Amino acid sequence: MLTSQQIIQLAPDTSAAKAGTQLAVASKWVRRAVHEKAIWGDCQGSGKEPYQTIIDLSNIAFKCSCPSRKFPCKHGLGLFLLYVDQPNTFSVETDLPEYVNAWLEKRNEKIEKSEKIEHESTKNNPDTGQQKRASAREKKVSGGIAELRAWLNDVARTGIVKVPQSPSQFTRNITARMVDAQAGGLANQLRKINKINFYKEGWQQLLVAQLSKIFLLTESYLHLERLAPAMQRDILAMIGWNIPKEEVLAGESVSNHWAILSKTFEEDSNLLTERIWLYGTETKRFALLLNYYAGDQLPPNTLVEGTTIAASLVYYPSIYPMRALIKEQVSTHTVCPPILGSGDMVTVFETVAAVVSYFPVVEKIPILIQHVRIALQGGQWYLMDQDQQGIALDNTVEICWKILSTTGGRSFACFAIYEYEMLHIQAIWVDEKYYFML
Amino acid sequence: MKLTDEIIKAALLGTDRYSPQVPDPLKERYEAIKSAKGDKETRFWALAATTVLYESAGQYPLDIKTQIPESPAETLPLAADAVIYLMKSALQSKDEVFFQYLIHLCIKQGKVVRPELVPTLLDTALEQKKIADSLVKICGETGQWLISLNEKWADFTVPTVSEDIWETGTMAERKSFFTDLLARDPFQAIKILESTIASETSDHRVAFLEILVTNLSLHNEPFFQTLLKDKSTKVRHMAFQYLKGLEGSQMNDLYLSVLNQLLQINTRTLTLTKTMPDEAFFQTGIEKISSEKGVEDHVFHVAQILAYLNPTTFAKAYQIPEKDLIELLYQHAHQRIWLPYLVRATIAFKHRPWALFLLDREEKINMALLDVIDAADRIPYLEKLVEQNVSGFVHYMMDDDYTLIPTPLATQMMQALAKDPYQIAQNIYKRIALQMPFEILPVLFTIVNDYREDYQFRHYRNQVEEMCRIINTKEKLS
Repeated sequence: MLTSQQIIQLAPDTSAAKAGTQLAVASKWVRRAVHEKAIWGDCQGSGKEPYQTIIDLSNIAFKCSCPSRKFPCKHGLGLFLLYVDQPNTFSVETDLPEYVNAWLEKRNEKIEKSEKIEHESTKNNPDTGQQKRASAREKKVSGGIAELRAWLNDVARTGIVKVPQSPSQFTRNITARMVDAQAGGLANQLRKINKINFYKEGWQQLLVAQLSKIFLLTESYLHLERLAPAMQRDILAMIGWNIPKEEVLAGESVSNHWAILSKTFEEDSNLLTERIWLYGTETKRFALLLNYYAGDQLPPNTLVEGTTIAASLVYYPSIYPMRALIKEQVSTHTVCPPILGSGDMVTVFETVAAVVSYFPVVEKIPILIQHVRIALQGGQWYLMDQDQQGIALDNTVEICWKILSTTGGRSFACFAIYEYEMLHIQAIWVDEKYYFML
Repeated sequence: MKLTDEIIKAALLGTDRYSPQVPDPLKERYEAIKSAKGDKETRFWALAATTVLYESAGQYPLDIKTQIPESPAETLPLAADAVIYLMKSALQSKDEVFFQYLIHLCIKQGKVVRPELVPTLLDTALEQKKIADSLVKICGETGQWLISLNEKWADFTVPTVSEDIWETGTMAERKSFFTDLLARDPFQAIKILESTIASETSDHRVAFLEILVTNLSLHNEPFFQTLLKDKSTKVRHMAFQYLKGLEGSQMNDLYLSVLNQLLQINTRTLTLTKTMPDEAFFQTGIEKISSEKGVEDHVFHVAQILAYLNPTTFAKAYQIPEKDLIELLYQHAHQRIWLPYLVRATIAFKHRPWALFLLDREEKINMALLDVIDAADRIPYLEKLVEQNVSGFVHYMMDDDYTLIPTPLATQMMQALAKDPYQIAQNIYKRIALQMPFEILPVLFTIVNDYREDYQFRHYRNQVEEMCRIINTKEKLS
């Protein structure tokens, strides 16, 4: 069962968390009941009829009859908080009411149905129309890539010295062109240039690294047939070809206890990107759940960092399999024990070198490391091992102070992401306790 | 030198103006790039990508020369997880009322917060100066350790007591030093302030005088006399105010002697003499011409003097019991003119018998007089105050120690609020809930379970529901 703090982490925003907390009062609920499969309750709101709220306990999910578009809504959060806080105010039921049972059954049917569709879709061959559309898209993408390479050549010829004067202008037109050419992946790679801090020394290295990576992607696409099949899938995905979920889910699944190491959100141009990093406690493999939410869509928020779930995952085909989908979640959260990695910085760099050598366009490399301390030298924060060998951190200054305070300057274990020669600490373990460093 | 330096240089200037030198380890690879089809720029990007990858695959860790000292162990126990969780939630939802209660709770229980919360609290202290001291206190040893490491929080360094601080410290450090010295050695404190007061800014002079008056005695009179000529109006005004009320000071003695000329008491009869006091009397800030409509000047002069006389001294000077004196003044024809000034004197000199007398006689409860009497004596007057002015009652009861309101009074308060729930704001409902006893809950539940639907009652019920939640949470924390 989740703790109050973990339930609050499921809230879509601060106001929902606050309102949920205020609803965690028995008097607000005219009915409160619990069954081994679900919790349900009726909350008297501003409407005539009370809102009916249900929580699926076997595979955390919420349902409420209120009109809120937030998910979970304040009623879901309030009911869950109330149950965790005062379980004895709930009547224990052996039978489920009809509406609760109907919802739980519908959920199960949905899961089974989607599995069936996935199975069937993998059996069917693409029709001629699909082939035509694929061929037309290839043409469009090839055209876009030719333009992108011409643009890169222009940049090389004229130089990047003036880019900081108007960084947003620098990639605006070519990004739009990549969107038109249906090469969304390349457009995203170009958008990353806008995130470079052009006021900070070192922007030149970051810009050249990103531009050369884009060049490498186009070069790989032009010589796709020379690459290994798994690498071909990686390049196509990074250019903008999405692999259908059904196709991924048809792949081999990996059942394990997965520690939820971190959950982050990034918002750009009305698109919310959710990254959930997992680690298989038996397989010792990382996995990344990558979800996108456009416009008003909100993430379902059912996984809590610092906990473990039993689930089977399917990895996307890749030379460096990392992105995955949950095929089936068997049980809910338990506390995540400390996950220990290597104990020295040299191993971190060896890992990086190994990954880069067979997957040169890698974006983020997950790292687990222990016996490290945080250090400050010349205004820059570092993570260093027992031999005082370190790597620069790109966490914000505020987070670095929080890490220092939490660890008391002593050694700790952490989960971090390596990118652009820097580490971004996402979670730490101090005295076996998990801390998410957001 | 990094392998990518040449690539960066060419990228900055453009390949038309600069051709990068190929790094030695990549020369062979570059020959392969050159042999492939493509123009100069394509070759440049191929070389750039190769160099960037080569370099990132061959990185070594950096030698770190510094090591941050470890934090000292906490001398106080850590606050419970529930307190920390609620503190984080309160900060996130900007619930200042509950946040401040949690700070109070930590201090009262002699506990400190968990280290992960310390930087956030120190940042909050920078924004909220009023609660900064309390926040720093609950940050414990970890807080002091972080303060010593981060300049941003340097203002919170606990000043070491030394004479240098008076000369070189920040204003906060100097105030702290002066307060300590005043408590330990008042003579030395005055001496040190006298020596530098002329060079202080007027704001600083006012700040130090405010500290000084909390511990005022006749020894300070000469010093305040010198301040009567200060160039700052504010400082001059402060000096006048203090000297007027300082028992035994020249000014206070003058007032008593003028009062003798204006007011006589013989065999329980109070008579007034119409006479104009000397000019020296008016130079102390007393108004010469009555500003009260229909009130004669000499009556008004008496009123003004009454505000500065200690009731005990006043009664002794007229050789009459204190109770009889207030009775005479209260029954006099000019009672309504004098009353506000008598109240001021009662409050200023914390005269308990007069306060009780005035509270008994006056229909409207004066809340400042309640402070003069003992807490146990206040109950009947508070019961009266709830009925007269429930908003005033609520504000009067709110104190920094979160003192519990007795259940009968709290019940009476809730009944009064039910009549007009908009008399206090939502955050005041939350704040006063923190001073409600747990035993009030059955009373509150009857309100929660009352489903009246008029808009006023619905608002009231919502507030009460929130109060129930707060009272329950508070109970669990204790």
